[in-house]
Amino acid sequence: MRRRDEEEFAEFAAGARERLRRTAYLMSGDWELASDVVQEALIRVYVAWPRIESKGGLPAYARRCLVNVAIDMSRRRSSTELPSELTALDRASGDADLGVPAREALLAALRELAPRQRACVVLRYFEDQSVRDTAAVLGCSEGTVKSQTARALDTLRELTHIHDLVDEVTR
Amino acid sequence: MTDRLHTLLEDASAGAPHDPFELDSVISTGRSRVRRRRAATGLGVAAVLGLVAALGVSAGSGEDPQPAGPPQVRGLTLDDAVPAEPGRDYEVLHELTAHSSDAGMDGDFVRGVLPDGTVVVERHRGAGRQVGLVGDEGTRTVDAPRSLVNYLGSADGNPVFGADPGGLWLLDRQAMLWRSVVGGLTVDVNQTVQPVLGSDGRVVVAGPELAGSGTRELLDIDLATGTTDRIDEGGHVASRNGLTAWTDALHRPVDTVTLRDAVGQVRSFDPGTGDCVGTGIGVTSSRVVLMTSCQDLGEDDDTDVVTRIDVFDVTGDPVARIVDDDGFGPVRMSDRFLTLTEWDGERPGTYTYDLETEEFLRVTDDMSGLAGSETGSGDTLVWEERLDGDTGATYVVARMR
Repeated sequence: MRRRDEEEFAEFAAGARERLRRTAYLMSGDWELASDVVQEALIRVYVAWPRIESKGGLPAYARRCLVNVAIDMSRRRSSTELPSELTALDRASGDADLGVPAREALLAALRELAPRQRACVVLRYFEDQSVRDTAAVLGCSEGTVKSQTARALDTLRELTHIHDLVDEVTR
Repeated sequence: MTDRLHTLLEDASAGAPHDPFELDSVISTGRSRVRRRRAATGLGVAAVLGLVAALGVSAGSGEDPQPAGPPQVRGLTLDDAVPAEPGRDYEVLHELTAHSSDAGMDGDFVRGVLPDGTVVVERHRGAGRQVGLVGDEGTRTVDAPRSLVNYLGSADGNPVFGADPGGLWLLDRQAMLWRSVVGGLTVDVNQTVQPVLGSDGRVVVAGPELAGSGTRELLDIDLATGTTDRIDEGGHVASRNGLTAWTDALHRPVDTVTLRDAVGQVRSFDPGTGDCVGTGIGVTSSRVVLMTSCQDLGEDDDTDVVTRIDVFDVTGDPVARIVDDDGFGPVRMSDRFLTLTEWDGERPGTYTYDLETEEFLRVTDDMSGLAGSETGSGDTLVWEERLDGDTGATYVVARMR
């Protein structure tokens, strides 16, 4: 890659990685794994960089790489490797406004979802992506995004702590 | 409303611990992958890399981070499938019936499902033939062109069929009008596993086999203009939502599977399928499925019979292998499900492997001789059950849970 391209990539990676890491965390429930997911996704972006003609599409392409990597990694992990949400929560407590019980419930609920359903929720309601853009990231139809999101919200609705919230979203 | 869930997710992902991210490591690993790809292209070592990948070892373990460890390959036979239960595993949306006998064809033959759940049927009533779109609000029909043949999939939500002797028919479902696309182009309309699914108004098809080569031209067609771009020369091809996958040749073992993504990035891998002959390929946004025949080839053997199905992720890492030494019946694939049929043997029926969740279900112990290439879309799955002996079928269109 030309030096100029590499500088542009470095600038993009530095600006995007924090948000990508948070997305990866919601996908994986583990900060260390999220860092690995971001690293692998950005490597894929680097390799594709010269072929990406419209740099305006970079965030979407990076998001697509990230989601694919996260889904594949979730497949590879055995059940014994799944992170303890309490451990993850302890590390993540910080100054967040959300109370630990609700945060715990939400993260545990996300882990109950199939990977692509989880991706739909994260992309639609965390990344604020439209149905069309979410379909583009996941490489599926808009109808699939709608049905996967609806199924995901059905599952989340069953959880006491966020029952009312999900009801509001789907009302 | 959605703002509150957004806030909840923002809070849940706040307070991140220190990030060990190292930009230099990303760049150096990226450089090495680019070098390796160039070397593989130039020196033809893709087969070696693929073999390593097939063995579950990172091809670049000395350079690339592989935080999740080697992939786990899941070996399956039909015995591993769990019987599906209505209610728990699926909800029936439609049941459509059809008959085919010496007296003729009658009824609604399901050909596929569009992304919004609309069922595409070929309706026979006496000598007439129509194409129908079955949805929640009833059925809309239009007379079928005489040259219309196989249903090939959808492009931007519109059904696409092959034309005999060449070209494509696209049904504008709003106007219920047919449009002939690239009428002069000869395309193979008998490809295994529903190959034509486009994005941005494009479809990917294969031309006829080039004499004596075991290959054919793989073409990318703009449906609006009919402009045709040559992708490569290869064997079996599949395309979905911008991701295109193809094998290197027909009628012989598959040495290389090549993938091209939406931005034109190309990668190849050796599927590690040995001497098994490639019979078809399928692709989703995250999986590549390769069908092969591993029968001992004799004069009477039919090499189109699929005996092994390998599922890979889009980096070429193997995910699962499904084997039936007796040979599967029709193998079909949607953007989520791989559907298998066992005609004979000890486990007749229809099976489905969920490419997203890796669940393997037996949806029915029955099957119909009318089973063809029809498949579902998204959560929707189609299978057939016998009706009036071997002359009829009930098509079950179900939403999988």
